[in-house]
Amino acid sequence: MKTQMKRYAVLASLASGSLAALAFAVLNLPADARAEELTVAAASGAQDFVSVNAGSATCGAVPLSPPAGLCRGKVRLSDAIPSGLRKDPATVGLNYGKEMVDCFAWKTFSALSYPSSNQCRGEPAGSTPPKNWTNDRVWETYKEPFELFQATKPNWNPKNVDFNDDAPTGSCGDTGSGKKLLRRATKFPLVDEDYQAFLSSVVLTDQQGNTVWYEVLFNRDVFEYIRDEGLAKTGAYSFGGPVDDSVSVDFPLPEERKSKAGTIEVKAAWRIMTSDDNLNRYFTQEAVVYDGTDCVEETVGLVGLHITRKVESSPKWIWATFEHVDNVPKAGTDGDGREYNFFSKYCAINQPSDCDTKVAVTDTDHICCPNLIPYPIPDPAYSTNQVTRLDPISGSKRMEKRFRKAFKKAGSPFYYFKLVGAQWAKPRNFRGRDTEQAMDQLADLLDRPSHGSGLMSAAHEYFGENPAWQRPCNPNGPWGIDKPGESEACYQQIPKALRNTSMETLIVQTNKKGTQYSADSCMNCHFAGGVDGSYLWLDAMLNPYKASSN
Amino acid sequence: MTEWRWRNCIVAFIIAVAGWVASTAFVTPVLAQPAQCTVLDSCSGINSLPTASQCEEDDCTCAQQIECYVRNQEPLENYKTAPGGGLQLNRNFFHNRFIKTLISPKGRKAWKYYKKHLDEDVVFPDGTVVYKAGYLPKDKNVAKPDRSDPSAYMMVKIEGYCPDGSSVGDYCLGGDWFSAEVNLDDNGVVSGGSILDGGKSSKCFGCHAAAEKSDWMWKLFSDRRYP
Repeated sequence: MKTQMKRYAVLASLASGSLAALAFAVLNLPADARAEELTVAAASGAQDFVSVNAGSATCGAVPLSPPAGLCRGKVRLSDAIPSGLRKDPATVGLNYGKEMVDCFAWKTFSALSYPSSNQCRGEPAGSTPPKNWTNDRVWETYKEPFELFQATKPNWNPKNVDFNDDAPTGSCGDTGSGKKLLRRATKFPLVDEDYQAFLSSVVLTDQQGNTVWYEVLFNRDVFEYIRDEGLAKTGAYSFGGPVDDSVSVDFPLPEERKSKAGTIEVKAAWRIMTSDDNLNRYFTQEAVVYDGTDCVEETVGLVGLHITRKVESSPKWIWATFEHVDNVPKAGTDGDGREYNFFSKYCAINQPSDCDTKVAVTDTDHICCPNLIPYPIPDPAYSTNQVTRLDPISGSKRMEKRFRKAFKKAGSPFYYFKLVGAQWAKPRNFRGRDTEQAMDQLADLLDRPSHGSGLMSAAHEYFGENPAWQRPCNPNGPWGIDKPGESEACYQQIPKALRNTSMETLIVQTNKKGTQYSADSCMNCHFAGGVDGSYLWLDAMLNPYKASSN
Repeated sequence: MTEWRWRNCIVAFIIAVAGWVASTAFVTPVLAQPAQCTVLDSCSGINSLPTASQCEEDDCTCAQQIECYVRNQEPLENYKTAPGGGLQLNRNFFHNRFIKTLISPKGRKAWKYYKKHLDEDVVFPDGTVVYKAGYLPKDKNVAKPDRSDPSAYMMVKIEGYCPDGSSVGDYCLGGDWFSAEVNLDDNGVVSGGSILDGGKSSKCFGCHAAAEKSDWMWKLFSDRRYP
């Protein structure tokens, strides 16, 4: 990496900034990719949903659709996930990029919302638009981390575990019989579930006083990659990821491995349904909720869903997040007079005047202060979180309308979901004007003709990864990363902040004027501390649910 | 009455109410309250940091002894801000609105060294004490810290410290570090304050765990990831 950076510096000094803009813009769009793009572009609109790789009789491959464009054709629900983005984000404007990424997000959401096959985990039951919206969805049959990692078992190595194997039993016994196991109430759990009470960190409580529960899941490509690289073997990893520093984690891209889906991770948020809820508005499941002591059967309703995927032209992944429309009212409003899952109209009217001086809800007088951590932790019976949306929904209104219409037509409760936003990255290379001169200088440097694909191949070989992917242009949040200079290559995180009110509820800061803002984003946090964007190893260590049947 | 006193009163009230509720056997699981203890009035005879075994035995005793050691042997006024750790509006969603990172003299020397030697593994010397002082905003001026009522998050490196339940396989959460949240008194000193959540706080290490490869320090971890 350092060698590449040195080469990069040489190039930068040669070109005084203008050369590399061209060099890396072109590097990001090799000739064969451009040819493919033209082919796909010819098949516009409705063709987006045509499956190019129907699932096989044996488990493994999932249906793929062509790379996502702008979703301007007729929207039909499909079980096929887009294989990528039609255009490289490096080469398009912000608006085009945003529309394309939103289209990618909605299509993936649509495909993963299909019923799962009974035989093959993580695969759709078929391509026929579903009529049954009560059984497991495709994403729900992905693997939980404890099915791959068993950090407390010294000799654990899942080399013989298959993605399709049933989940091992744990503290709640066999949760089979169609019941989902929910055991996460926080992103910052205790290290050992048997050591102290389970719910000892920050939790989200809905307006009924119930804790919100979470799931983390990943698909076959992630599972097999980690397993096959020996990175789930106990002792091979610690809290910070693989312990061998020579290991370079590079999660698979679409079509690289058996399932062809590439890397997909999912996080879901579930509320416990009560008699006050209209169940027709929710995708519900029967679940066993494990609070560290008891296993309680509950009917739960989906209120939030993160879907994140790594694709070739977006190596910092695409982070899409969806929310139930009943979670909170629009940003910048005091609501519309009705109750929400995490927003009380009473609190909106009775908000204390000094909330802007608070960093946590430390007493019951301030329970109506929005988006604050209750600390020290009160019993949920005495507190509910008041949650507001701080940033307007950034997902495309046009696409939201059309996809929700398609879900409504299919009688699906996913009609009640909206895309909060889909975060993507756009490489910012050097500022360049004189492309001809830049090509000539690049050719001189590499001793190649200044035109033709040979130059680009040589440049790829010479530079390796685009240095723009090595650091964010707009770091935010807590990690103390300096902002790179104007002339440095970096990647822009778009949007800069992204917050799902059911999952990043409390990731909020207050500016000098006392106004709250969303303090971080998926990409920023996951690439600040994760391993190739993933916190799975950290989760495996912090959340070592003990399986007893293997 | 200062906010920490209110906080303690309210926590006590909540605990009392929760206890009553639990005793009547209806409503919800009882949640864990952060362990808390009061700092010692007298630190007579405490001249060294506690050992790992002392800290593993009891979080509160350990925290009290650390506080005494700092008060008597290595007073906070001798600490300097960690490089880049001056008073700032906190962009983190944890800690307080305003933060300032102080570090003990030998810890600071190590910090400066590792800031310059990015290719070396970060290992702080035993006995390093890091204080992240936090300030709430002044009531009528949210842009200014209220220095009369600070609190602090404290990390202390104690060789071999790893209490039961903190290790997963061969690895200990937070390495050798002991953490505590300390509420300071009206004069900004620890004496008379209380200690919350001492030990291997999940609130601290749930986040710092990702920076394990830089001895659990985010700033130095970021320096290495984004040189």
